[in-house]
Amino acid sequence: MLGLHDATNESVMSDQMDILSEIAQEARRLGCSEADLRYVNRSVEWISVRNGRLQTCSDLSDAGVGVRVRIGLATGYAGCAYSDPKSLREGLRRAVAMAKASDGVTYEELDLATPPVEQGTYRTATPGGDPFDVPLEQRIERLSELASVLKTDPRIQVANASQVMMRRHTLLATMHGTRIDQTIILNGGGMSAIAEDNGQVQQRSYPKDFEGNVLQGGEEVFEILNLPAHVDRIREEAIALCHAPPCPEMLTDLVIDTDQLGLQIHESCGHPTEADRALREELSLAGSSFLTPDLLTKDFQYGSPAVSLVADSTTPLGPGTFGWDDEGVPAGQVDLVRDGIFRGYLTSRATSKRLGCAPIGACRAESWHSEPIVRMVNINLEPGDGGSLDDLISSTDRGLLIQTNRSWSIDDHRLNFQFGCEMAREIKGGKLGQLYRNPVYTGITPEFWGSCDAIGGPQDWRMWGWFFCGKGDPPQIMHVGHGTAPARFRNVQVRAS
Amino acid sequence: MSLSVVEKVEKALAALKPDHFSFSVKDLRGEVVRYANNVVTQSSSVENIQLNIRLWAHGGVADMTLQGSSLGDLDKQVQHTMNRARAVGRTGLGEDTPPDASQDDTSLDTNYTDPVILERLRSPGCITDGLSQFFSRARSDHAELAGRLEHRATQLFLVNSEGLRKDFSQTCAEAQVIAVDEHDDHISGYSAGIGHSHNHLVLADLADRAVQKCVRARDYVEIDKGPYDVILEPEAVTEVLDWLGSIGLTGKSLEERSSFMTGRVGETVMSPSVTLSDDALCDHGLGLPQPFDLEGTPKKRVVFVENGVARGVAWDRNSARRAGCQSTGHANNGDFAGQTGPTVNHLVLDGGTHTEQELLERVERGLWITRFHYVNGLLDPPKAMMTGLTRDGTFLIENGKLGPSVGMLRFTDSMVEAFQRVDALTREQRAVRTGWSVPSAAIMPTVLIRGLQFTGNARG
Repeated sequence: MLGLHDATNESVMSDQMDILSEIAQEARRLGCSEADLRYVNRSVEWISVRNGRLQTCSDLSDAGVGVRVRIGLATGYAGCAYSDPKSLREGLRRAVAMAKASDGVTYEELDLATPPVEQGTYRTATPGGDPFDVPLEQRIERLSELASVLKTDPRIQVANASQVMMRRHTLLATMHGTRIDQTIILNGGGMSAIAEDNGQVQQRSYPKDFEGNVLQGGEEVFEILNLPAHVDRIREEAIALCHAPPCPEMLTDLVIDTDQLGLQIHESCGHPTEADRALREELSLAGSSFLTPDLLTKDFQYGSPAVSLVADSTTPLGPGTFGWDDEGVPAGQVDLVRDGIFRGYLTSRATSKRLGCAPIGACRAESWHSEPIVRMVNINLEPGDGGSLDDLISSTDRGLLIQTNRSWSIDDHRLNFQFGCEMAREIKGGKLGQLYRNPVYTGITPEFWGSCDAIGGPQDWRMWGWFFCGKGDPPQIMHVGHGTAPARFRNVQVRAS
Repeated sequence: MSLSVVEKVEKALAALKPDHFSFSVKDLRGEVVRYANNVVTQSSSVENIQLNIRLWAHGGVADMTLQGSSLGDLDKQVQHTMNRARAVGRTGLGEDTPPDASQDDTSLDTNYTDPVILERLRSPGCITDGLSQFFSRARSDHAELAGRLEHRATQLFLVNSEGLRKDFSQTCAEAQVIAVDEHDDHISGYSAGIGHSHNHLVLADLADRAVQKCVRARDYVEIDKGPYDVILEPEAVTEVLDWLGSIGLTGKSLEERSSFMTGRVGETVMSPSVTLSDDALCDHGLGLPQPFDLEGTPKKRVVFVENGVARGVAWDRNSARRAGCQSTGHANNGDFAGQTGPTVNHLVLDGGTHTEQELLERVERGLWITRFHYVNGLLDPPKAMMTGLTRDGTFLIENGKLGPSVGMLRFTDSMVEAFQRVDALTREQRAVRTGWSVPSAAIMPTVLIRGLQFTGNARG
């Protein structure tokens, strides 16, 4: 075994929790009304095999403590690279200094309620075994075999297979008595083939491009992904795309498969329901939201009655599943959109107070050096009564089946979006026909979701994980999930890029 | 702190005797203040230490990054990396270019620190000084400020098994100011600055500029989609050229035949007025200088496009060896997890001979664009087809004069073709922040491009 995970040793961690609690208590003497200390020990491994050679074999091990304090109406944060008591006391002093420096130039009305007191543990179930326990050679060879089979046609210029896995151990202790111990394990991967033929360069990926599909779980995730079953198909599709005509420009019905619809949910529902965006606190990088707070009480029509979107930090396999968020608020399920009507936000304690609602437990940080901010958890589209993907296709008279994201872009209020996908297939009379390359579709968020007339059923509902959702300034990355079935949208603008 | 870590790593390596090694130790101190709605919303101080180590052993190579207290058990972590390198060796798939020591260039400056920033970092919290007066000034114009102010100091040590030892120190001051109308956040203005000295940032000027744009943007019209002549401020130019750097200006993209340069080196690909390079040494006095990359290779100025003619791309040691050429000092800087291959972090677009006013006078009907949002260059990389949206100050130009603001617009166009239509560039250039987690800066003029294609607006 090559893993190094002493941080999960229970007695060591109990000592560490006691130190965090002790320093949090000391914050009272410095005038703090709140203090939380969050120890994070994170391991991330990334390996990729590209054209017969190991391209990436990187391993990140990151540990430290984030200290957050509240004095009066101001908050301060300090990231401490070392977790011994002396370093933490020095970090506490820095956090206090940062809070005092912003006192008088922060919100005047924001008097938070007494924070919740939570105690407990959470650990990802890994029925297939801990992925960090699988020998590195075995994991490299698994990827190498996939990439070799992808490359069996000389028209494939690049064959790539990759795995990413993460273990994140967090201890949270607060001045008011919270003691939480969580270990989250993610595992996943994917593969892609780039073909060059007929004057074209085209890519196909499975399950999707970049990190592939990264889910919460152990070695069983690779069983779920079942990459070998899709190797021949994506190689042949990459080559076929080089001979396919560009996607015609038209208004047509779209059946969007889950490997693209997950990102559509992410960009056009997940981000605009982040409360800090709606409160104009994320303008410096991410932007704001068309879902302004006044719409919460106006039964704003976000989508068609078929559309219900839920923030759920309890979904099995979801990368956004946990026991508590990084403020110690318990996981749960909250409606963002119910039967097409906008109903709620992703919130932290502070943003929920400003919006006059309860915090939903969506305040998360990349690591100890990052201050927790409002983040997505698992933002899921509830299954509908549209049956399987095949049922959706067969009930569509004329349109396109569109699959696998290639490019994404949406404005700073999250209204005007444009997605490019790896491939589209014509649907004619309920049957699949002509293959098209470089499809792009575009729309305006509420109009687009308002055109959704069918959502697939539970049989094709699938969890998709994103490891690299970027937000914050300085930027942080976060792992989030989107469960969805395929769905159909009427009269969408499409063309080729 | 960094030096003691260097010594500990060397000691751990001496006991294990890998075939080769290279490592860097980065010490970072920083403060960040974020503000919005004319109040401070986040106020953070971070101290971090990071070790990046690469070991070659038994035909394999492995990388390890340690941050914070993960460095506490160095011997065990280095042994772990050694075991990983051996495991890679057993697969027979390891391929890497061992380090060498013949890359020293003692003429390079290695200290780019500003004592004022260092002093401010010794007094936590003083970064917020003066913010309240900028908030008051914005309030008087019925605007709200949002943005970020950051100071950071880094010290980098680089060591390898072939005797290379280098160090480099840098400070960075960065500010971003968005002014939004207090009632409508579709009406906004923007300004930003970055540099290794606090002199590069005059926050009062940045705030004034953003507020003035916001005030001007209150006069508003809707316009249709279609082609428009555009004047792009340096921030907007950077957004698209930074993407061009990642999809088309590295050895990796050439190797994968996804670059617009593939098979076209020596051909005219852009307007004769375009000379685009990567120059980390920042002889122009702007930006964030960097004397060598994380492989220890001295940074070289690489000319990608010279007077419109494609000249070449940037290489790291691995990609250069495969292509039979030399590294240009563009090894990955660890900006984004999982990213591999050469990277372009110090883009410079040469300035022209004009002022912004002269550019304006050359436009009969067009758009002044402050910056773009959410540009994506993956639509069709060989054509450098990109899409993105305007934000924070887009104004109609009519008969050479700046007019009312226009709503959000989406462009979709080939950037290679768009830069064939460059009509004029300003003499003046500005440093613009690039990079994700590791700040860097591009140096860009304001550019007039004819006929950029806009394919969407707020209505669709």
